[in-house]
Amino acid sequence: MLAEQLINGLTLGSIYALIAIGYTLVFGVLDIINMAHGEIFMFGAFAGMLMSMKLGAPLPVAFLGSVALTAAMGYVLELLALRPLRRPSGNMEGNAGLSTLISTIGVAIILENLSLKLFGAENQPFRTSFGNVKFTIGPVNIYLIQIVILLASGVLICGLALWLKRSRSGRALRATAESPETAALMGVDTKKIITTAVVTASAMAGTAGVLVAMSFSNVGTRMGVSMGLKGLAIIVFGGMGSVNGALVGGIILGMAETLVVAYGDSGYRDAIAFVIIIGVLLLKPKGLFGQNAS
Amino acid sequence: MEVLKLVNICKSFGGVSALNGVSLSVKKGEIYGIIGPNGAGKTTLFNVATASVRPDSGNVVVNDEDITGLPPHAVTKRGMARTFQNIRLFNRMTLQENVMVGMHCRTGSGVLRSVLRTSGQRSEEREAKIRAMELLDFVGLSKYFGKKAGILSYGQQRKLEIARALATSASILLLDEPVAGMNESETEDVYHLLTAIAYRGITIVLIEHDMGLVMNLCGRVAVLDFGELIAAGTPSEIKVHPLVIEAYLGSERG
Repeated sequence: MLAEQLINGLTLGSIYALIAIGYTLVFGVLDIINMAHGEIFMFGAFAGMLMSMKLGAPLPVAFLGSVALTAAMGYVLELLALRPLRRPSGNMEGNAGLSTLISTIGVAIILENLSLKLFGAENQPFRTSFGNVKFTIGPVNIYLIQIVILLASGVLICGLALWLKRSRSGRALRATAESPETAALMGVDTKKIITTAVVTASAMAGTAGVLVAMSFSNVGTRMGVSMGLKGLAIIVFGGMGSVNGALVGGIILGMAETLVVAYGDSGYRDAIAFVIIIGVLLLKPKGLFGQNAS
Repeated sequence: MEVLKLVNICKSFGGVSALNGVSLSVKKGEIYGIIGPNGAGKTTLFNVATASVRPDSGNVVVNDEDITGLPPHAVTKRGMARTFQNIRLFNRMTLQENVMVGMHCRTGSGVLRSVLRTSGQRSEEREAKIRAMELLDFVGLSKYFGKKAGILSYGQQRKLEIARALATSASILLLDEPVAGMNESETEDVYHLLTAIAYRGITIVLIEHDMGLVMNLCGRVAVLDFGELIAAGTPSEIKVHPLVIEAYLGSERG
């Protein structure tokens, strides 16, 4: 049933978009890929599951708790792993690019091992009261969880876009993304803006983590790496640093994967998705929405 | 009253001395020129003044407050803003947005208030837009307000930088070669623009190679050569100063 598959694709795609936009925000202000992003996503999934299943917290509480935890993780990441490697203010020429990238890889390894220690290597079930609730509209089945995912990611992505476009701090973030040095000289506290970007990106990863955990009804420590790599592929595909690119790229990849599984061979799911990405990159090396260096 | 004092500034880059004990003070409301051959240390002096570069020794004093060692955004907040020799606009943002970024430290809505879209935040945003339009109008660019900064001509980009610097509500404006690469009529425009800015009571310090502009506009001029202040005084004094002539034309003893 095509309509159903399109909804499935859109749902998966919006999760991908949430992850990819997180990468984009951090890439925008720091010019690095945050390699720990996928692991923070995985911690968000576990936090939501544990709070709901082990502590018996109501879902909305578990959800907010997990967003708060991942936001805090973003703050600690910036404070301990990123900020000390940037040159101190007073000499803002360039940034410490490669060393911060390596630093995030280090954090990713720590988080991955910490998760094995804390949560164990086994996948764990995440049963929610509405996991199997579905609505039937004519011949189309929609699961409640899909509606929740679409609504949550829609609200988050629109909110983020509006914030970036229409607000003082959003403008400061875009200015910092273009040139941190110039932004600072125009009175922007770039340290604060960078922290805001990393925290926001991490909280979005946490949100995506809980949503994915609920929709697949289980969580595992390996989900961080695989989602992290998908997110990376999407931002290259969409164009580095472009929020629109992350959004459109995420949805295209989600749709492509879903349709391949539905109408083709599920074994080729990733293969076909990546063939599309490679094809686009051959035609547009800077990605769908890539900007030429100014 | 002295609004900007640079006291005994020294800065070297890997053994090369860019500034060697430079001191100067700028009075409120004056237009102060800094001239000197290429590589004399003029831009480094601006970088030190605006905290982009930390001096090895010496102090920067703005309105009787020692600001040495503060981060750049804090210096902007204290009323000093600059433009750049090699234009540094936010090319992916519109003209209006560029100017609004300049207002960042004068407006107050944080992330939380913008997410909640409080009425205070909305009216602040409206006022910022109006003020940005006034500034664009002041420099003669208001008709391009919604265009991306990258499409402007060179001369227009320099004017946009001035508008953005004014948006910080600076009382001291540091302009690094404001007419570089401009033709005569554009230079004339900038001359009138700077006069109008000074008329508003804003102190201007400018680095410039266009001697006509410097001599007509500036009340006082300082001359840098090889990182040292070799002369300071009125334009007519500077024109006949033997060290200045030597720096520009070379010594007869050569």
